[in-house]
Amino acid sequence: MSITEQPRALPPLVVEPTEIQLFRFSAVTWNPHRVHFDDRHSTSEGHDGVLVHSHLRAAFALRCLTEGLGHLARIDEFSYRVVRPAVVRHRLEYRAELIDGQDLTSRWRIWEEQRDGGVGLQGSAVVTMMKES
Amino acid sequence: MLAAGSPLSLYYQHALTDVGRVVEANLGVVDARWIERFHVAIGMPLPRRCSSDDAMVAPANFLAAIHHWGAGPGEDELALDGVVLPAAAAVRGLRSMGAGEEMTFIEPVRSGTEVVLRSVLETVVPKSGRSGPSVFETRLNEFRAGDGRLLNSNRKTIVRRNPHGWEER
Repeated sequence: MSITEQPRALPPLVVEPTEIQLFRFSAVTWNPHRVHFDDRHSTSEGHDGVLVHSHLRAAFALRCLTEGLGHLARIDEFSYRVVRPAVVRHRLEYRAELIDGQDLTSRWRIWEEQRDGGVGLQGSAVVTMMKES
Repeated sequence: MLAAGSPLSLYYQHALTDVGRVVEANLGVVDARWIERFHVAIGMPLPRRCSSDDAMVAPANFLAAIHHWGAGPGEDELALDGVVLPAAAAVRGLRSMGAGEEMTFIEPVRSGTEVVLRSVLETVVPKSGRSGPSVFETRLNEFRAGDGRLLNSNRKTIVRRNPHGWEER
């Protein structure tokens, strides 16, 4: 798929991370940070509940790209900035919009929209479409 | 900018001594089960194994997301919030949060790959904002295969803050 054939925006990836998903992500990454699994602790830090890991949110953003562009998409670069926390069981919507590109390489703007419409994470990625072997 | 004697100020002084220190560690071999579990945890369907060597390819930010590769520190070495900090006892109650990352992916990470990490704390910067004082620390991690090939790198920013309610005291 060349840049001229690529869509300008990808279908949004909508997730609503559960406590179980956060626990499993903490476990598989061996992350003992209590804000991700201990509601009382997280609330004591001033949050509205346990928080979704920034790396899990980055993985959701990357899923939006790879699922939208298909298995031939290779991510070359990805950078993001966390603007505000994301809370468990809140709906998160990941969106990607084409910035520009040339031949098989394209740049995308990516962001996370939270349930109140605010942006929770924003970033950009460079993607190369591989040729089918 | 940082109140003298505050947990954040203590942490900042400790962290400054770590700036520029390079840590290298052999993280061992990435196995397929670990990659499979990561897929499940992020809600992705399991990938098919490569037909040529039966290897499994990890999602792009797999290496960057792993918090500890080995057994990890004992509970008494963690700060109150579960985070590993230098001189944790001196800064118990400090709050930490990922603030962003820049990742470059050179080569897919496949099961069976031996991974070596080179990590350096690049900067530790005190800041002051609407939500009070904070310290932004930036660390560069480079993940290489056992033969030295660069697989990917990430420059990660973590923000540290005083314990909740500290500024109101």
